[in-house]
This record gives sequence, C-alpha cells and structure tokens, in this order.
Amino acid sequence: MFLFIFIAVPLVVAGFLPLVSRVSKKFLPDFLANLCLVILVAASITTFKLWPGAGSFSHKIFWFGDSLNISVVLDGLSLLMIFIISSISLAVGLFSIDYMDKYGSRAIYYAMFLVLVAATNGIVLTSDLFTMYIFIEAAGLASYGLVSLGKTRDSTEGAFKYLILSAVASSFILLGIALIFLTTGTTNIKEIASVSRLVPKLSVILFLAGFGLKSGLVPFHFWMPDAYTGAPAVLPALSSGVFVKVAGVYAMSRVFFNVIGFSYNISSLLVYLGIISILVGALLALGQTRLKRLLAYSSISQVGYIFLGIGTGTPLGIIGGLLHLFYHSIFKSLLFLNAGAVEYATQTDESTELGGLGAKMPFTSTTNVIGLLSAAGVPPLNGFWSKLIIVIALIQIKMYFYAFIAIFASVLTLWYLLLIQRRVFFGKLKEQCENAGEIPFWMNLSLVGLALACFWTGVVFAPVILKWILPAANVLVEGIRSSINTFIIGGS
Amino acid sequence: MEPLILLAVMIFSGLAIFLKDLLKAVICLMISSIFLGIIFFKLGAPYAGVFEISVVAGLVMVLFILTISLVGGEDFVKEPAIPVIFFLILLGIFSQLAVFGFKVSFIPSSATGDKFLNFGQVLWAGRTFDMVAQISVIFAGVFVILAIVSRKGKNGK
Repeated sequence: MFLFIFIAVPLVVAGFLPLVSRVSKKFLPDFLANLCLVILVAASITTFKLWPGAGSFSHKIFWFGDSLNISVVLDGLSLLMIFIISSISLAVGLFSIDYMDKYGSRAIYYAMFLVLVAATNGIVLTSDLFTMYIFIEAAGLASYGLVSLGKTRDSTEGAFKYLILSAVASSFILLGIALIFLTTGTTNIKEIASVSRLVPKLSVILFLAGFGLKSGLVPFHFWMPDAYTGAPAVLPALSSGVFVKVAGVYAMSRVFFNVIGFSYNISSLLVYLGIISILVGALLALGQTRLKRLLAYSSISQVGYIFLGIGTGTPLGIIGGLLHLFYHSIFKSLLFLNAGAVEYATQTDESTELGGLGAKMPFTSTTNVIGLLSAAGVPPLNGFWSKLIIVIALIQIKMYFYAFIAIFASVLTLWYLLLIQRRVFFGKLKEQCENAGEIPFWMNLSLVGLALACFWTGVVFAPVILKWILPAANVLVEGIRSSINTFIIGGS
Repeated sequence: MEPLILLAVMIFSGLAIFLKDLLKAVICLMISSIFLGIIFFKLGAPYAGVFEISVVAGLVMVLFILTISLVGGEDFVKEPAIPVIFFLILLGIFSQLAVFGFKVSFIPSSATGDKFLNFGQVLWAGRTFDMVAQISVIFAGVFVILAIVSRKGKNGK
C-alpha cells in the first residue's frame, strides 16, 4: 500500500482542489498542493531508506481486506525516478506559490499539476505496458492544459501543436504495444521479457518514434520549442525536469532494456539519435533570443547526452546517462524557473529587451550563473561529472569522434548560455528592466534550493552515484545481461 | 443481443456523421465505441474490449473534446430536429439494453474462452490498475477543459 500513495495521494488531492477553491482561492490550494508534494518527497526518501539496495519488489493493493488487481513494482530505476519526480515537483510547487498569481485559478492549475505528478509516478510504478500507456496519456493531457495556461496566442498554438504531435507519438506507442500483444499474448512487462524473442522488429521502430517524440529527440523535437515558449515557466521546468524524463527517457529505456531486450542495433540507433540531438539542439540554441525557447533547444541537446550515455550499453555509459538524467532535471528546472523569474519581474523573456538585471535581481542572477555553469559542465558543479563519465565511457569503447562532439557541444552550451547571462543580467540597465525588483520569497527559495542542489550533488557526486545511480544502472545492465542470455539460449 | 448492440454501433456512428455540433458528434462516437467495446467482450476478446473502451472511448474522446475547446468553434449550432430526438430515444433504449443484458449474461474472460465471468468482472478484475490510470485521464481532461473555459470566460470570448 505504501508505494501506491505516490499515485493515490496526488490524485485525491487533485480531485479535492477545485472544491477547496470555493472556500479559499489562494492559501488552501497553495498549502494543500505543496503539502502533498512534501509528503511525496518524504515518502520517496523513506522508500529509499527501506530499499534493500538491489532487486525489485512488488506490492498488491488491498481494499478493506480484499485484494485488488493492482500491483506496483519498485526497483532501483523506478526509485530514482520517483525521487526525481517528487523533488523537482516540490521545487516547482514552491515556485508556483507566487508565480501563478496572473495565470487564473490556481486550484485548477495545481489540480493539473498533481495529476501530472500522479500519472508520471504511475508510469514508473506500473508493471504493465498498457497501463503505462494510459498513464503517459494522462500526464500528456495534464501537460497540454499547463501549456495552454499562458494567455497568449503563442501558448494556444504551442498547446495545439503539442497535442497533435503527442497524439501521433501515442499512436506509435499504442501500435507498438498492440503488436507486442499480438505476438506474445500479454502486456505484462515481466511476461513479455521472458519471451522477448517473439517481439516484432517493427515495434522497436514504433517505440523509438513514439518515445522519441515524447522526449524531444531530433528529429522528433518540433513540439518542444513552441510548447515551452508560450507556456508559464513552471510547465517547461516540470516537463523538462520530469515529464520528458519519465514519458520519454525512462519509458524508452525500460522498454528497450527490460522488455524487448537491448541489442547492437538499438544501441546504434540511440547513439546516433543522441549525438544528432546534442549537436542540432546546441546549434539551434545559438540563434535564439527568447529565454524559454533557447532553453528548450538546450533541453533537446541535453537529452541527447542522456541517450548517448545509455545508448552505449556499457555499465559506465549507462551510469553517465542516468546521472545526467538526474542532474539535468535539477539544472534545467533551475534555468527554466530563472527564466520565469525574469519574465515575472520584467513581463518579457525576450533577451534583446533585457539588460542590467544583475543589480536588480542579485539572487536570480547568481542562481542563473550556477544553473548555466552546471549545464555547460563546468567543475565542480553537477553537470560536469555526468558529462565527464559519458565522455570517458565513449573513449572506453573507442568512440573518439562522438566524445569530441560531446565536448564540443558542451563548449557551445557554455557559449550560448553565457551570452544570455551577459545580455540579461550584465551591462546597462534597459528601459524594460527599470521597474524590476527581486522576486518574492517562495520563488527565491525554490531557485536557491535548486542552485544549492546543483552545487551539492556536484561536490558529493560519488555517494550520489553509489546510492542512487548504481542500483538504477544495475536494472538496465541486468536487462542487457538477460537479453544476451536469451540470445545465447535461443541460438544454441 | 449482439445484433442489437451492432445496430447501436451503426446508429451512433451515423449520428456522429450527421450531427453538425462537433461536441455532440464526439459524444455519439464515444457511445458507439463503448458498444463496439462491448461487442469485443462478447466475442471473447477482453483485451480488445479494454483497448477500445480505454483508448478510443476514453482517451481519444478527451483529446477530441480538448482540441475542440482549444480551437474554439461556433457557440451554438442549430441541429436538425430528427437526429437530436433519435439520439435521446436511442441512448435511453440501448443503455438499458446494455445494462440489463450484461448484468445477467456471462462472457468469456480470455481469448481461449475457458473461463466465464460477468461483464464487470471481465472489465476490471484483470485490469484494475487501468481504472486508476483512467481516473487520471478523466481528471486531466476535466481540469484542462475547466482551465480553457475559465480563460475564455475571462477574455470575454
């Protein structure tokens, strides 16, 4: 029952929020939603403490003594994802307390936010592909709603484009699941894994396209810049930090490593798509002047690093990929929330209209520097270690050219993010920024917390790897091992 | 029983084509999908039934309604009287048929047809977790529509 609270608690609170808003429009929705997120963070840390460190355990849910046919499964990888979802959501939730004032009913906003959290937790905890698909759709629906909260034409257009492309992605995923069901007669992850040789090759392509679209990999990235640009900054922070990681990276890794079985062809595909995303994302980010659009392209590039690491299929590469997944969630959420803070203070995220904000917003300026240096991989901040491990893993398997591209794109990242920092926070104070001031307490608290996390997880990267990343990487490595065994047994 | 359900599928699909109001057309299509899902169950394909009801009748319809809400549309569409009257009468008749028919009849719970359960048991005994996911989908759909409606209301459109 304990694991089920990750899905049930946010869902129940989401259901109550619109009713609660009749009593209190601001305080109660803020309080209940953030209390719920605090409970989830506490629960994820408690689960980590209770976690034996290896293997997986499943829980059956009981209702007044009767067993329901709900079984949630937890292993090292899902534990890592649960922690990322809870902690990033809490940071975004705290930021929303002051930020969401101008975006209409906060009860409805928090309700969509909590449905997104519940659904992403559901994706991570389910042991069935079809249930995973429905949770992906639920999270997607909540995301469209959050995108459309922006009051501009851009946000409606972004939400529409996001909705249509996501529907295409969902069709691919559903078709892939249907093909698997057709050949194996089951949608249970464990049962499919035991007969993975029966899985048709076409479903691999369908999953690649479907999950690729969800994670914004090149060439499936078109929705991301438009959706993020018009939306309130909390959506890209949540989407880039949580939804893309879970519905894209996690789901694809789970399916390829633990369901279908990892092969050389899948590895090559992931590495190629990863390296193209790194380069294309970084190059496209160079020409952008709108903060959220630039960060969207940066996200595409950083997701490429994750796939590059995981796609190598080596234990070190997988560790690097998962570490980058964790760290990218922190620093990219920080950067998006910083962009939101700038927009909150100046009413624009167009960098050409901004300048000299450093003196007016010292906290935001400092946290932005920390975020951008992490993204660019400057030591000792967290992004450095994950990128270093990915590059070492590439060198280890003699992919020197890809290692060079990864380093080159990192330099490009530093370049475009520093340019933005200089343009927005340094130089002469521009007219648009004259009335700007430091952002309210809760927004600052969230930014400072994430900035400290960037710094702290960089300094203590070794315990992070040992306690959080290694058990998660072992789940994927185990998937490779069992597919090799299946291949050998199948071949003999 | 099956011919009647098949007839319901055809009639509600027809209404989905003839109705001019997109929202009503979508609701007709959803009802048609539910009846089609019931046929799948009756024919011993519970997974196909679950897919049909969860994805087509549930998820895709929420997506349609969301899209209609996002792009807007005419505020009021005048319908020809016949489809509307037909819609209400047939909805009443067929939903009663479905409820009473499936309360008593037992249908195969697996493709091999070796186990027979009633409709409710087949639908959710094996796929309870889907129900939780469906609740998330419904919540998300309702909240998104509320957000869009309140925004349009404030803009005066």
